[in-house]
Amino acid sequence: MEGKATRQGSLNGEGGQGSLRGRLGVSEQEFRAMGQMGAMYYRQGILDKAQAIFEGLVEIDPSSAAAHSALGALLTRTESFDEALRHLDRAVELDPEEIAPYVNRAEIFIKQGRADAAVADLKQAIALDPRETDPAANRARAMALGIAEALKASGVK
Amino acid sequence: MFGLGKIFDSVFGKFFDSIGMGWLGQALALTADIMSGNWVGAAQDVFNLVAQFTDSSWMNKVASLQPLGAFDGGGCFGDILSENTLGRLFDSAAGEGRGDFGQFFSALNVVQDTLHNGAMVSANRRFAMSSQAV
Repeated sequence: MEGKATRQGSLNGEGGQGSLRGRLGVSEQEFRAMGQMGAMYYRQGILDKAQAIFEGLVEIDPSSAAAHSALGALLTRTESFDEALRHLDRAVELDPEEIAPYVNRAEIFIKQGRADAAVADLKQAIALDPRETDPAANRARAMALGIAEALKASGVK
Repeated sequence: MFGLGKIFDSVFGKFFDSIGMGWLGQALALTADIMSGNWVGAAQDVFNLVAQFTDSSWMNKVASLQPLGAFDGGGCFGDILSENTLGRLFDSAAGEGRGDFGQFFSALNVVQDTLHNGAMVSANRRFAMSSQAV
């Protein structure tokens, strides 16, 4: 049940003539298509190919929240947490309305035992999806539910 | 910690496994002692968060992998990334100097391999269909 982002708008990159992406003449459509190819490999578990694509996209457009978010997700999956956090932090700076980076940061913070930071990101991800329909935000809900059940099981009321 | 293993071996455990989040129980156990850790301080926030869920229908639509964001939506890239497009991008990147775009060259190589493999699959499919037709 892989997630489908509800926000499919701008990729938030620059792509103007001054940027590397602009100088190379990579259109927004082409940039998105490469990202989608990376996503295909990511879903198939062919992570080296997905990573090569996402890293290339970050390289040519460091102002793309989408590229940082995707690379941060992949690095979360491979448990390269320090590097993942750098990209996820940048993604949040560039697009505070995107849910995915909050969810992945929360996962890292849970694994690191950083409760306050994890809960703050879970709250943010959940607040951005009040209709409870976004799979990424629902992943945050699942994490919150798991933590709540664990706390209750440990006797915390 | 008594009940933690129980929870993650239970119905909830199956739910978390089914959405690729079996790691959650282990991660919480690894925080050493959930009772003494900073989770207790965050407990009220977590309970309040869970209390706001309207029902359980969201549980049927959970991302089973770490979500990517804007690239998650899928879509058809084959119409946009053609051999011609790729040739143009390779030429542009080469013109700018390969040293500046090492990672982008690697990305283009993956795209090129993918298109090539896709073309091979299509050719094989056409060949198979034409063979059946004979």
